[in-house]
Amino acid sequence: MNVLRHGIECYFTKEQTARIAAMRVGIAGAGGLGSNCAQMLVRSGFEQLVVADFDVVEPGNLNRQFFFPDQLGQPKVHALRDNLLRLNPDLKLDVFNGRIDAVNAREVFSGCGVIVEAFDRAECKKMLAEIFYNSGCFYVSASGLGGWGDSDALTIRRIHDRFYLVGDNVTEADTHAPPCAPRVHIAAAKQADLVLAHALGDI
Amino acid sequence: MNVIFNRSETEADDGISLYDFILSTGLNPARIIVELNGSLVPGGHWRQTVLNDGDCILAVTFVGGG
Repeated sequence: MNVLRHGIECYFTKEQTARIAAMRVGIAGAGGLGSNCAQMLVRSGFEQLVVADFDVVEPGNLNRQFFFPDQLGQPKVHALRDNLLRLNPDLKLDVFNGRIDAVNAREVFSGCGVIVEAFDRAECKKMLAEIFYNSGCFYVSASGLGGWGDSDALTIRRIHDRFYLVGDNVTEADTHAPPCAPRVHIAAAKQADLVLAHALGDI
Repeated sequence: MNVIFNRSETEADDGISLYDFILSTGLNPARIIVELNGSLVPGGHWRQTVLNDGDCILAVTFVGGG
């Protein structure tokens, strides 16, 4: 028996779980946003995911990313796959261990009705947004989640009916405002919640 | 001429390109996406896109972190 599925049945109707499970979600980046958003989506019953990242797990990631000390040095997508499969061993999870760019983005995320942008660099956020802006995919981006405090400033902005932007749009994650678990997780949770609302037909 | 930029009316030079207008705002072209009159204009097309009086430009800025 799939224990997670069984548990989710306590909260959703059969129709709702079917809608969620039928949605294929692409997650661009498996860092602070992507690893945590993926965890929340899987806990919510999403079973079809494509996760892409080029990076490996480092000690500085553990303050906010969904990885563990015994995973240091592993490609993030492989470590994340292992963690997600612990939650739901029946996931249809594809991983891409490499950089997403303007040439491969559509192919890597082909078949995805939802895209979660979870990149680190602003230039990459721009690149992916331009590709998917008019794609018909439900697109959830994030910008401005560094530092701590004032978490109410992490808002959701509807750019158009299939493009949402989460964050405070101002606080770059850098040495003055390092990325910390509370704000990063709040942003990732808002991204996951938008995806869940979309899957359930509310937006 | 007058254009509307991020919902505020502002002046712009006649015949200015979208690229030059964006530069005049101080925004970093590498970190923004731009809608012109409701349609996304990819960054590679900004230089050859000429603005007209009354155009409506919306720029969404990204900052790093994720």
